[in-house]
Amino acid sequence: MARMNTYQAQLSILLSCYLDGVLTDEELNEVVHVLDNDLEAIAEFHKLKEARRAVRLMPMLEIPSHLLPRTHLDEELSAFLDGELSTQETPIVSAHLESCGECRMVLADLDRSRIAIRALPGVESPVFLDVHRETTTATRRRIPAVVALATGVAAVVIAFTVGPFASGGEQPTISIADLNARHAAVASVPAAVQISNTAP
Amino acid sequence: MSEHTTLTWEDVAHRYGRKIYTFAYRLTGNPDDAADLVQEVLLRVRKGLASYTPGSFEGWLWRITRNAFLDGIRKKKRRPTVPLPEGDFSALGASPSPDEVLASVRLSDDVQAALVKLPYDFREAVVMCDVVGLTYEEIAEATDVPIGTVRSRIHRGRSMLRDLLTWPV
Ligand SMILES: [Zn+2]
Repeated sequence: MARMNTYQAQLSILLSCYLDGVLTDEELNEVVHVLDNDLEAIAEFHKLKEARRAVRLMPMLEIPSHLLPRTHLDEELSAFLDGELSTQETPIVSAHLESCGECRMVLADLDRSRIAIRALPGVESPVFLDVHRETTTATRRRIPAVVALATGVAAVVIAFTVGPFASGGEQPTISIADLNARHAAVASVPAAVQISNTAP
Repeated sequence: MSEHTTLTWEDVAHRYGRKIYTFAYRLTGNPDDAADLVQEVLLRVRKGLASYTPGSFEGWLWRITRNAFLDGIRKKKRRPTVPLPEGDFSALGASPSPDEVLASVRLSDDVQAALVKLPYDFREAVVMCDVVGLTYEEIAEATDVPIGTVRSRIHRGRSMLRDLLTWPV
């Protein structure tokens, strides 16, 4: 492109604006007049028009569905309790829980089930099943850690449940940062359990 | 009162998520960056919706989107695109002949590749105008510049884009 003087540069901007229909009447008159008389301006106009068309012909993309909040959460709730959500899912689930009392109630129910199941005592295997003994012992050793974990989660659930009532049904008092920190804390526990299993 | 005062962030996600995703994708050409941006924007919308005062919702939303995008770039310390010197388009090649103009049927991949070569301000203005469909006023509000600057940026973006899309035969 040849260098343009100030007038040409201003005119060129007007040509672009003309394509978008944002000229004042005065500017419009000038552009129409120029496009009737000036071959260079006409060439410039077509060039801008083509660039505009090229961009506008690009398709609007589909957004990956996991990025959009669903009507309600489902299996993500169990994954949330277990600290098994992906880093992409965690903020979305946290935000949904903060704004949705129904899902918080489902989460509380799931958590009670989870605690009940995990609190079941380990069963002593018969002595002759030596192979299983070590596994069972390991499982029993895990229980206190798991209960502690479940209790921590219960605290989160209570906070979820209490929040809206405490604030008169308006904005929940828990921040996203709190939720994510708690979720991260929950997620980190299985790793600790793993370490205790390998201890003598 | 704007209807947007009663929007939840989930409503915003469903109504604008696709546009925000496309906006980020067209600016970066990268689906991961686009996904990251959507999440960040929705978090910021959720936090900011309570304090949103009726006005141009589009301007508000796209200002958030733009700031999230720029913050993301700073955080990741991505290679910045090399901006062309102000006012010097000579590096972009000679003017296309009318034949070249007519012959150039461009795939969106070509346009995408050319878009990401534009200096950020021009690219952003073109994408906001021609991809997202914002008005000049909304772009001015979102990018915090006068409308005259918006006009100039859109024009220069298009002008450079057209040169990038024309290869000498
Ligand atoms: Zn829900």
